[in-house]
Amino acid sequence: MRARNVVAVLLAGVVLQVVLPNAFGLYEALRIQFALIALVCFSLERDWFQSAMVGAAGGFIMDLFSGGRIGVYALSYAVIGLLIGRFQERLYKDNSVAIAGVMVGASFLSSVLVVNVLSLYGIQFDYLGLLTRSLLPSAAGNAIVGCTIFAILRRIKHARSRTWKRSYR
Amino acid sequence: MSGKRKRIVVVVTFVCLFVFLSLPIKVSRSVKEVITDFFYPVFSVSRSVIDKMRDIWEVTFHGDNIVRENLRKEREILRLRARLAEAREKVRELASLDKQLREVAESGFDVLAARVIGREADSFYQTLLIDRGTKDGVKSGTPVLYGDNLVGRVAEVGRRWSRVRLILDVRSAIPAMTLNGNVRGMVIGSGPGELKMTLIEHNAKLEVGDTVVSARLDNILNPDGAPLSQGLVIGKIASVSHEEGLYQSAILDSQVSFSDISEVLVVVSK
Repeated sequence: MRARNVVAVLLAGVVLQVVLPNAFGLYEALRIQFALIALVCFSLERDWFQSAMVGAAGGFIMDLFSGGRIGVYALSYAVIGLLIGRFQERLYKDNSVAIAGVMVGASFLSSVLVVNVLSLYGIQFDYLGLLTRSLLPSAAGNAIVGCTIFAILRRIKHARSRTWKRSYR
Repeated sequence: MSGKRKRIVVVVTFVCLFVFLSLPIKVSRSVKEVITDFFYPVFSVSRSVIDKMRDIWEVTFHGDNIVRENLRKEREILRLRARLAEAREKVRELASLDKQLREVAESGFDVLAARVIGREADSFYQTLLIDRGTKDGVKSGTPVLYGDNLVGRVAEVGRRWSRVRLILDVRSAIPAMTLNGNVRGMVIGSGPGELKMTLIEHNAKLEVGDTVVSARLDNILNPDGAPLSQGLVIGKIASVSHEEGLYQSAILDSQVSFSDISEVLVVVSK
């Protein structure tokens, strides 16, 4: 996938994240992180280097549209991309439970990193309260939406490779 | 690219991100102002498109059975129904704004109606993006109301947009007092769904159900910004906790459902 397309997908993800909760009056604390889902889906298929770069780009876009300091999400998404890209080969990607686990893990890791980076600037969170009120429902939402998107992408990929093999024969 | 080069590029990227993080907040704000100005039409159009989709969804799936049957059979009716839903939504919005305006007119504030076009992308911060900016007279620090309830203050202002920091945001701290003015404290946000009033004198008498309003505060840090007006309703005391030490704190119950806010009122002057 070209870098331009990846950035466009991440940008669309962030715009959706900003516009959707308001339009549908969703449960206040539930935030489906489309940019994070896009990053995880990408990292599961690519190497650590590309994943880290895409993570940094996606996080940077998030930072531009968030109400906080630039660099917080970029840093945390770069770390997530790097880790998933590094260990993705050990995962059985057709197993939805494993993918859901990765989505949930990425959501929590992202929150832990963001909370820690923000605490350097004196912004303190009641992490336990945030976890129960917001992070758990958001992680569950990310897992459901992320698994569905990843499964669809895998199917498209398999269908394409089958078509390619048939035409090659 | 070789493995060594890749490692160098990743390390350089991380260093650059740390540099970005250490930049003054003013630089971050100016960069974001430019970007949000550029993407403002995208947010505005996306909001309108999603509103229309929601109307069609409501007409299709929440209408009665006869209407649903008709909608399936005749596309023309669907189109008309969608228009009707749109008109009803507009009437509802106008009625809501009218009610809010009447409530605020009684309080003696000059206000400006604004449409919410976006929300914070994550749950760490609690902010709203509204379609009013410096060209409408909005300043940093301007209080934002929903009805006669204070929901936040403007944190960043662009030409055509503003970012409102809700009172739920962990960075929000609003000087407050009870309606009778006997008890003073500071209302701080604790993330989605929780408001806390702290720094209340230990011997102050607080009762569950007492109304908490904003106390006047001049914008000392930003003299060009707007001061916080006194007497804007924040919420009611839901519970009081008598902690050890000099202060006690209280959990507030807001009358506003923050997830349902689609229009707000910006206090432009008193």
